This record gives sequence, C-alpha cells and structure tokens, in this order.
Amino acid sequence: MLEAHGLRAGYGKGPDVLLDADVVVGTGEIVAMIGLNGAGKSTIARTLAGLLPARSGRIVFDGDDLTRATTDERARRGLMLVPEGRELCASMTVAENLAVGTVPLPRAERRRRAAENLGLVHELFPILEEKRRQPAGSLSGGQQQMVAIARALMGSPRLLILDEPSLGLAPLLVREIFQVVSRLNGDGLSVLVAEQNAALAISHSSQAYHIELGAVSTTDATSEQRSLLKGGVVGDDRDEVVALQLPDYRWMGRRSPEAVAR
Amino acid sequence: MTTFLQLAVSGIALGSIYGLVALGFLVIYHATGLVNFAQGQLLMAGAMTAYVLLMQLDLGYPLVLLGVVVVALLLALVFRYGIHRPMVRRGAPTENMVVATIAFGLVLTAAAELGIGNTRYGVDPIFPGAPIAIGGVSMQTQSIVITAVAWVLVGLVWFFFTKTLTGVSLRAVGLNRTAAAVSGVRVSRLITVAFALSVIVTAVGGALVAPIIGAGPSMGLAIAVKGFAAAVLGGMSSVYRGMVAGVAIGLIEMLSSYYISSAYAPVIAYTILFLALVLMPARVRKSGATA
Amino acid sequence: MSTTAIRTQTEIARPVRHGSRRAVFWAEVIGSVVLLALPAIIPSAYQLRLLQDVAIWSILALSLTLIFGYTGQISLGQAAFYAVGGYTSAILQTALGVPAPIAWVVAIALGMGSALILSFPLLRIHGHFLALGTLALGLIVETLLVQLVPVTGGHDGILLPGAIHLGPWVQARFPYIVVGFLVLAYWLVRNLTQRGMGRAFFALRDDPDGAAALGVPVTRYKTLVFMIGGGLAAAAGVLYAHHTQVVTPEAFGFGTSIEVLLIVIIGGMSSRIGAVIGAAVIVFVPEWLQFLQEGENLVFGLLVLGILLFLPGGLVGGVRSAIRSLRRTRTSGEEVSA
Repeated sequence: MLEAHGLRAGYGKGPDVLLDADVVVGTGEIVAMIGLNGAGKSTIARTLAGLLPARSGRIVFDGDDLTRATTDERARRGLMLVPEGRELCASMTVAENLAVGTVPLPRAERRRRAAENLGLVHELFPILEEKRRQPAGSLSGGQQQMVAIARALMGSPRLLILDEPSLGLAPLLVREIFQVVSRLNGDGLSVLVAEQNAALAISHSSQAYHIELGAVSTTDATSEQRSLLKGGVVGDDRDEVVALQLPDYRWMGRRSPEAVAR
Repeated sequence: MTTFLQLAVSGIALGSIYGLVALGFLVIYHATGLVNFAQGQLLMAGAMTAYVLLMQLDLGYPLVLLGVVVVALLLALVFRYGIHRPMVRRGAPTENMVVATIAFGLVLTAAAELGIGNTRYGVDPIFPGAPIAIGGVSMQTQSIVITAVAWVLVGLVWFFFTKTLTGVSLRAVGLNRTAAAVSGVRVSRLITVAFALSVIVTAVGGALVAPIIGAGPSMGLAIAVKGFAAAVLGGMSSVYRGMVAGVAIGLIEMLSSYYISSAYAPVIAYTILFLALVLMPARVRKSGATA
Repeated sequence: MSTTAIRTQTEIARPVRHGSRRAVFWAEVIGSVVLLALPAIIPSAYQLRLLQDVAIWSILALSLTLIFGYTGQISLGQAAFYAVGGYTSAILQTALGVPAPIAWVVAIALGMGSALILSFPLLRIHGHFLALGTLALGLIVETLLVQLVPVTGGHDGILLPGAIHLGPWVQARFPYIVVGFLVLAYWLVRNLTQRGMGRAFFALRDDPDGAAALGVPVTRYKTLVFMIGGGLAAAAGVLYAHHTQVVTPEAFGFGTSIEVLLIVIIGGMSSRIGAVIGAAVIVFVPEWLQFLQEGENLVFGLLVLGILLFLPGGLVGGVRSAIRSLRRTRTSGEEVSA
C-alpha cells in the first residue's frame, strides 16, 4: 500500500531530521511507529502526508509516486493524516468540520457516500452526533481527537496516518480511540500510527517500527537500540519491554541491518 | 420627517455598498490574512467598467453587470497569479504583500487615468423611472434597487460560505490551513476562489454605486475607507455584521452631512474607523470568521 | 499567509559585518560632507531646486524608514505629521509674526508631541491594522486642512514668501539649511539604529513577543520611534513650506503618504541610505522622463510591484546582495588558487 524509502526531511533550513528512513505499510496492516519524544515519528508522519517536503527519497502509494504531490492531493488519493494536535477548525461546528472531510469523495457520489460515512462515524463516536452543532473548539480534548479521526474517515481513506493520537488524553479515552482504530483496521483500513505509548500501540498493531535516534543524523544509534531492547529507556512498565520483543519488530534508520537486508 | 426618511433611504443604499466593500475585504482577509488596500481601486474598476459599457458602448444593465464580473475576475486572477502567489512562493513577509496591494491599487488608478482621464463621469441610473412614493415619502427607485441587489449578493455569499462544500472548505482554509490540506481541500485553488469572490463583490459594488456618485479614477479611496470602517466596526467577522455596520455608516454619513455639515461628514467616517480600530478587541483580530 | 512566513528582510537589514563597518562609517562621513558642499557646487537654480526636493523627501522617508523599516509597522499617515510641521511653521510666521527659527522649533516639537499623544491609541492597534489606523489619521488631517479655512486657508493654503519671513540673506542660503537638516536626520536615524537600541528595533519588527520576553521595553521603544518619526516628518514639512513658499492640502495628503512609502520600498525598506536613494529616484525619474507625464504613477506603481517581487530589499538590498555574491565568488576563487 505505502512504500517510502530513503526519506530525508527537516525543518526550515535546519539539518535533516530523518536520515534515509524507510517505512512500509502493507494493505490491511496496522503498523505502529514508537519511539521517544523527538525521535522523528511526527516528522515521518508529516513527510508522508506532504506537510513537510521530502528532501530526498521516494514515497510510493498504491503504485503511484507521490513524493512531490501536495498534502491535499495525497489526501484526495486516500493517504490521510490525522495530525498531531488535531488541527480542527475551532470556530466551525463539528458537522462543518466533518463536511470538510468529504472533499476527497468523488463528486458524483459524494452525497451518498458522505451520508454513509457520517453514519459510520456517528456509530463509532456517538458523542459527535450529539455535539454536531457545537463549535469544535468547545469540545474536550478527547472529543476533538474523535472529530479529527472522524473528519479523516469522512473522506473514505485507504491509509490512515495517526500522529500522536493519545497526546494529552485521559487513559480511558486513549484506549477507546485505539479500540476504534483496531476495529477500522479489522474492516480493512490500513493504519500507520505514531505513538509514544509503546505498549498500547504495539498491543494493537501487527507490526511496529521503532523510530530511534538512529534516524537522527547527529546521534549514534546502536547503544540506544540495545538499551531500549533491555528495557532501560522506554519506561518501567513491564508490558512495554515485553511488547518490544515482538518477533516482527522492524528497526528503522539507515544503520539498521534489517532495513538493509529487506 | 419626510426629509429624514428620504435621507435614510439613500443612506441605507450607500451603506449597503460600504457593506459590500467590507465583505470583499473580509473574504481575502480571512482566506489569507492579507489586508487588501486595493479594495477601493477594485471598486473603482467596477464603476469605470460600468461607465464604459453603459455610457460609451450603450449596453443594457444586465450585460453591464456581466461585463463587470468578467473584468473583476480578470483583475483577481492578475493579482493572485501575477503578484500574490509569486510573493507567497518567495516567502515575502506580510508587510510586503500589504504594500503590494497598495501598489496594485496605484497601478489601477493610474491606468484608469491614462485610459479615460481623471474626472468624475456621470452614469445613468439603473432604473430611469420616476421616484415612487410610499406613505408620503418619495424614494428614488434606484436606491431601492441598489439596496436590494447588494443584499441579494450578500445573501448569495452567505449561502456560499455556509451551505456549499466549496464555501465551507474555503472557511476551513482561512481558519486552519493544515486542517484544510489534510482533508484534501485544494488550498491554493480555493485562495484563488477567495480572491475572485472578493473582487467580484467589490467591483459589483462599484457598478452599483456609479449611478449615485458617478465613476472616476480617484473615487476609490473615500469609499474604501468607509468599507474598512464597516469591516472593523462589524468585528472583522461575519458577512452580515459588516453589512449592518456599513448601513450604519451610510446612515450616519447621510444624516450628518445634512443636519451637521457636509464638509465634515467624511471626518466622521474616518473617526469611526480610527476608533473602531483602537477599540477592536485583540480576540477579534486573531480568531477567524464564523460565517 | 502563515505567520511563519520567512522574513527575507532580516538578512538585508542585518547590521553590516564588523570588518566593513568602519568603511561604511567613513563613507557616511564623506557622503555627509559632500552633501553639505553640494549647494555651493551646483550651478543652476533648477538643479538646486531638485536637490532640495530630494533632501526634503529623504527626511520624510527617513521618518518612515524608522517606523516601517525598524519596527515592521506600516504608516500610511506620515503626511499628517508632515502637515503639522509645515502648517504650524507657516501659521506661526504669517499670522502671529513669530521669527522663523522659533516657529521651526515649535513646529517640530508639535510634530513630536502629536506623534507622542497619538501613539497611545495607535499602538493599541496591532499588525497591519495599524496601517488602516494611520490611513484614517492622515485622511482626517487632510480633510481638516481643506475645511478649516480660517486657520489653514482651505484649498488656497498659506503663502510663505521667503524674502519676508527668512530675509534675503537666509533665503539665498536656504539650500544649505535643507541639506544640513538631511545630514542631521541621517545621523540621528543612524545612531538610533546602530547601537544596542538598533538591535532592539530589529527585534521589535521580527519578533515583538520575543523582544518583550527578553526585557526590551517594547511599548516605550515603539512610542519613541513614533515620536522621533513624527518630529522628522514635521521638520520635513517645515522645510517644504519654505522651499515652495506655500502650503496647500494637496502637498500634505494621502498621495504624499503613499509617495513616501514608495520611496522607502524603492530604496530599500530597512536602509537609511535607501531612503535617500529612493527619494532621488522619485524626484529625478519624472524629470528625466518628462514625456511620461500622466504615466508617472503607472510607472512607479509597476516599479514598486517589480521591486517587491524581484528585489524585496529595494535598490540598496539589490546592490548589497550583488556585492555579497561578488565577494563570495572572489573568496571561492582564492580558495581554488590556493
């Protein structure tokens, strides 16, 4: 579904934050990107969505090279980002925010499919139906995250990229959102999720990438990798350590032997 | 009392035009954050086009309006693709873009002066009919027509922004560019739509005002300032508030020039703009449009 | 526009590198001396008149450069303070018989005072709305100049014959006074923008919130900039009144505010010398291209659009980046040969 190879990207005139990163998401897969704050998860998500230009490398989505495509074009092709920090139109109502999400649908069947998608969204997040006339900015953080996901779903995405969906949310809400994502994946949606909460992300994923400082040009990665595998870096939570030893765990970054082998 | 009502009718007509200018100003401001100082000259372009088509080429009013819309569309495209987008691409600071709007207005005025000469030309009324009397107050037919056309236009714009997907998407572009882009909205194209809409509304305002005050290359500034005042007084936000503020300014202008002094009437409008700016709450400037 | 628009200006406005700073200083000194000597060298009265035109526009442009170039605030009402200077001086001398020097001091003080008072409401207006506020202000003053006939003489204005109010001796040497004022204005702006305070000015323009966080007294500096700008504009007005020997509303209206803005853009927004070069362009180009006549505004409008698109630092910025790239090729050449 999505194959990105050799991605380099950075902010402004600054140095590369991504160093030849590779990301592959197969059809129907749910893939997690985990890693520390500042490791480059969001940078990958933003580069894949076109919010940051790729300085080099290729992004191929469904056989089409989208490396130079604008963000909106990628969204119209079904490569959709739920950005970090939600990025809603705060003064517009929930219903209007969701309406904007229907832009990628083909014009001829927009009305019909928008209604179908709205039905799905209201089923997944009943609270949004209740609050559809309220300004999105007046909702709680968790509800706003729901609006952001729902907005993306309105356009019938084929690959959903979630950038830090749990940021600033209560654990219960986070769990709810991940359950929804799992369910969507069960229905056939491919998902790439960038998440700091490694245990949670991995328990809902078929694959996981570990984004570590090896993807950052300035730091040596190998020691980081090892200490992480021993469970020293991510956290004290046992679950995380166990999760990190999943068999399909793929490393990213140019120094990763697995990446080279693949 | 009769005089008062007649003044009020003309004030509302003139004020509706100020409202249109305010609307044109707000559409670009909310889509791009740009304060467009060429607003008055774009209105002038509409008025001058109406003058040429109506008085020199003897076309009927429906064709004249069509011509004004076409000219407005061309000017919008020139400004968007010739000046605005190249500057955005080069990462020009906003203050340079604001200056560019001033220079664009200057070019429009200068071109009109070169083309037709710097005088004020009379333009025939839309409906040449005799004034109609309602309850003892005789009213110019055209004041009523102008008011009606202006408000219908505003109604259409409101419909566009709230009921059409393109309109709602355009609001999204103004409120949160990232949100619009990740939702698949063609951001660059919609900004062009905003420019086109803004210039069309403004130029049609010019075509409407031409029968009242005439058309001339230097007519823009005075009306633009009242339009800016209406926009700011309306809280820089909604479509209809700017219209209401425009009507208020038109009324104040008409009544004060009759009852106080026609010489100082402009000062009142300028003072309203100044005070509205000074008292404008910071919140209004940062938040986006609601409708 | 996103608020994160890259500020290409910053690069242009950045103070000159340390090594060339001394060279610039001596160039400024020599330039000033040459300027002061120019009235003695220039033979024809016509050219002398153009010189004074340039000098007066330069002072007015410096006042805007100070405000716009160094704080990022666009003023479209600079002609208002210009008018305060010109009319105050003219009224004091004609109606009240005040001697010229005292009238000048009062006029400039009034320019500063009115700018100080107006800065309180004006500085409440943020960003590009300030341009709208100053526009309104300029238009209010222009309307008053036309309408307050008993005070301002309306459209006819006030005559200020030099031979009577300055006396023939001073009148003959007036060009020296004009260029003298320009040199003073230039060095005032130079010193204001070059020391630590100059850095504060740049900070005000590029990142006002950051500047405030670093302890720069933002409002006080902005008020000061406004006040000095108002004083400079008033001084230009005083000189203009004697130079043309008449003050009329047209010379102090919206058109003038726009023309000053054009000068600043053409010369280079954040450049002191740009103000002088821009003024020279605005004065000389119409003189050279007399056939343009009514096309003048069109030419200047297009010129400014072209500069904004292709040369955002104005003529001075263009020359600077040309020098920079020359220097770069030279040093890289040396590296190759070494």
